[in-house]
Amino acid sequence: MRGSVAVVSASNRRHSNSAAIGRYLAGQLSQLGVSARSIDVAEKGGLVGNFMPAVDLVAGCRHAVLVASLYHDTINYMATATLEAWADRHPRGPNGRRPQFSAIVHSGYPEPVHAKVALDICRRFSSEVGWSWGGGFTAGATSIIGGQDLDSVGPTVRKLRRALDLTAQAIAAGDPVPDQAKRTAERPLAPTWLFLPLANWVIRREAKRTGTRNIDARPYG
Amino acid sequence: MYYFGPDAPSAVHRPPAIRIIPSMARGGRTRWAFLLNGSSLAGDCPDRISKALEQVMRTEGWGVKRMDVHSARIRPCFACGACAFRRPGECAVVDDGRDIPRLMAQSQLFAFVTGIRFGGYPSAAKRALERTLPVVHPSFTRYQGEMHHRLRYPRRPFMLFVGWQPEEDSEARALYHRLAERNATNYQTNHRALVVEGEPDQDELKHKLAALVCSVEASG
Repeated sequence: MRGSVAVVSASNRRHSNSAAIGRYLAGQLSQLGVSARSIDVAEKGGLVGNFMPAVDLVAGCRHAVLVASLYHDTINYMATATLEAWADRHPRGPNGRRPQFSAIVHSGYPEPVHAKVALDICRRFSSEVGWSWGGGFTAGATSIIGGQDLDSVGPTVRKLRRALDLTAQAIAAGDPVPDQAKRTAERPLAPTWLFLPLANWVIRREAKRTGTRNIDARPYG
Repeated sequence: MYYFGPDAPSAVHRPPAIRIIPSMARGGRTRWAFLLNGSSLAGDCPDRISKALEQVMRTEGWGVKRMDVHSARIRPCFACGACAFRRPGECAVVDDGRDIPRLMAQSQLFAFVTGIRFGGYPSAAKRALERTLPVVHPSFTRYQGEMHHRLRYPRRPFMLFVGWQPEEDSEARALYHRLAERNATNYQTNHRALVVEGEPDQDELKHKLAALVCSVEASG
């Protein structure tokens, strides 16, 4: 399938988990012989309100993939502003055609229910701007990534890597994100009853490491 | 610019974008509402709805603190973690947005008025909403069968969401309602949501907003 693919990672800070996921996907696409261009919106001007690099990246691409973290039950501000920039500027794919659009929304929570609305907002964006919806998926428990390359994180993100591999293969062939990728990514790393105490242990350890005096402080209450 | 560290300002931040209009509630005790006006342009439809909602709230006996996103200086939340560990409960970014968690924590009612874009909040409004993060505790709990962050304050404001879209659109409306419900679940509180479509008739709008505010009373 000819034409390049744009992988746009949008998070509210640099060196984010979104950027790590985007890098991995772009790498897999490149291995499959697809010309993949990737960008970290926060790194390339998003933090100072410049979303043109994300618009320019999509221009001329046949497929755009947004990788965004969940923040307050929907995609984060940086991703929302990126969608608005695309909607306002109308970047076009090869031969002036509208690109296909896919989205990967990830969150620290293990349950996929948290990110469903966010993914539906991405789908709604594609229908409003007339980009064909190329599917997407939600992934949970991504706090484990810590901004590192997915290959170096280990077996805890193997399901996410597998889902991204399947997604890359589908996009390379010009197909939408397959259901198998969605199911694989949405399978929880651990049941909530196990994940929750582990996550709280990590928080307590982080508080100790940073010397937090009163983590339960209520400055306004 | 961060609040803590060598460049921290010595003065207490007092944002000019907040209007405080107290009024006496029934029974002589002021109940406070924080109205976050997510309109991105002064005078646009969400801005006019915000003003109408403020009037209705005052009529119903609420003291209203309003912040206008279009005139306030609100930078994005950088997810720096300062509000979780360095100074728990306080935002490290010095701007008007630093007062959002304080106003939210000190209110019994939180109203969020925005336009609707792609079924969700426009970016300017979303940027402001994200600054509520300091009211969230970094550790986790189970709520309604799902994993959620604990909340820092035991008293949570009732949430009112008012969205506006230029024309009738059932899909976007349904998506907005789902998002409002998710937000309320995340903040472990009750909520009501209203979607206004097209150019609203002022009397009809006030009637709908009054019913919305009264529903807060009914919910206790």
